[in-house]
Amino acid sequence: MLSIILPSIRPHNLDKLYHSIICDCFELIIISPYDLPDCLKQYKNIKYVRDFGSPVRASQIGATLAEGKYITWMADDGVYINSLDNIIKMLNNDDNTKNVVCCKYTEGDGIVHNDNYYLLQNAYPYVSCVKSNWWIFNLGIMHTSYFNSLGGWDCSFETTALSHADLALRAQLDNASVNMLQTVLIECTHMPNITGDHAPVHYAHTEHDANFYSIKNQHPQIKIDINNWKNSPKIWSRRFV
Amino acid sequence: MYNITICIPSIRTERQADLYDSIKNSVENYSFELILVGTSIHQNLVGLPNVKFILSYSAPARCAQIGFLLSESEIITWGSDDGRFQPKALKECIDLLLSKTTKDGITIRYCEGPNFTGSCPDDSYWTGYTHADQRLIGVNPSWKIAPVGMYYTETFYKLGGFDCRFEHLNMCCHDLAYRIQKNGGQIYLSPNLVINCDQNPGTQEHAPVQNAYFINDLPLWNSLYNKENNIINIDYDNWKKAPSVWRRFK
Repeated sequence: MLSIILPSIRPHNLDKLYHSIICDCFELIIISPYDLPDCLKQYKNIKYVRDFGSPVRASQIGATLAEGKYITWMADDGVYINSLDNIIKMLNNDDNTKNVVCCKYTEGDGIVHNDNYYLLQNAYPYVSCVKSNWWIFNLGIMHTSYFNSLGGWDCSFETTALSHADLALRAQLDNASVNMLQTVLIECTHMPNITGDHAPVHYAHTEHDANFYSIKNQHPQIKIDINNWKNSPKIWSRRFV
Repeated sequence: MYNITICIPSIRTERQADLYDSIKNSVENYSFELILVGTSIHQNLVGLPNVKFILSYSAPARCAQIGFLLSESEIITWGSDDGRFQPKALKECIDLLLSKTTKDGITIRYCEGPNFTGSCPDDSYWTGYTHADQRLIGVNPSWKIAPVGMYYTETFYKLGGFDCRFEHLNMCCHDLAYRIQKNGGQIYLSPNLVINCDQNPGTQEHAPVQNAYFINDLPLWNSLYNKENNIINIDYDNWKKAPSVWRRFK
């Protein structure tokens, strides 16, 4: 089974997202301060947790409840446009639990970027320990056991982008084997800067996460405490106050 | 970090707001979070940051185990959604537990009866030997039972919480209380009645619980305790092996 972690503030998108999932056996774990839409309450493969924390804390809480052999994550302004089953098969065909499969995605403009766009050193602030061929994990699928052994996401970050980057750094520092596919797995919308509902994410990124990522990874630590979410604020004040 | 997490597996959404208020009055100056695990949450509780809700269709034992995964407190307890916590009663229990070691626990006294008319059993009720289904080789007759217990969260995690092969929150609570005592912990009775439950045995709502007891939990109990039983620690993730949809929701 595949566990799909989904921190969400956009309940109106969830029905479309759920029905876009092409996967033989999955659970969708939604963490949101808002009600689960009625139309989704009938599905027994949806888990739902109410929480007012940051997107990263929400994601980590979701991961705590994951029962799948594999884990992935998703943004609630996206839909899947390709099957996840082939990726699961790839992971199933190899016993190495440190295998991670990453996929491409589009944001708003539909443009599929070349590989350079998905390299960790190009996408996020410079960190000296990052090798030039390391990938970002904005869209990754990995063994849940490996995810847990790394401790998942660092909830000192507020937004998912840099927590994924941090996870990617720690996994590749740990010699994870990452396969970046050319497959475009999801289509997302794009809200630049403070447009739409994106302002809290924009400010979290620029005022905290980017700088924290650089400073923290001057002395990178591969494994962190899986329960680190308990040290993060219960209410993400940038959005919910 | 809260002082205490109260986890309630819940199917009676309409009672949750009253339950929350009763907890508030019961803990007094201690901070708390309520974790509801079940099919829905009362609208009055939706915006409260100290209320978590987890959607789950699984058995009460599995619901509680999942709920405590998300605990952010030093101490945990649980209850049923047809209960009302008595004023000041949880505060007294927390005071008592905080004066003991982290291995120890509290038996939360409760009573059950239609329209909250039950009366609290006397002290002897809270030992295993009082109950016919507990007179087995693997049960020390002097051990206390704690169908509702209060423990340090770290100890609950360390021992692995509930055995989710049980369905109802009863036998798995006995099992946990016995493991606490086998681990060298002592269980103290709550100073006073803590929860008054509006129990209506024999109703259709109660049928899945009764079925769980007779079809699954009691036979499992006998298989585990009708012999020497030295198990103290179990795997916390054992909930993942239990069905995600319980007999009530099929």
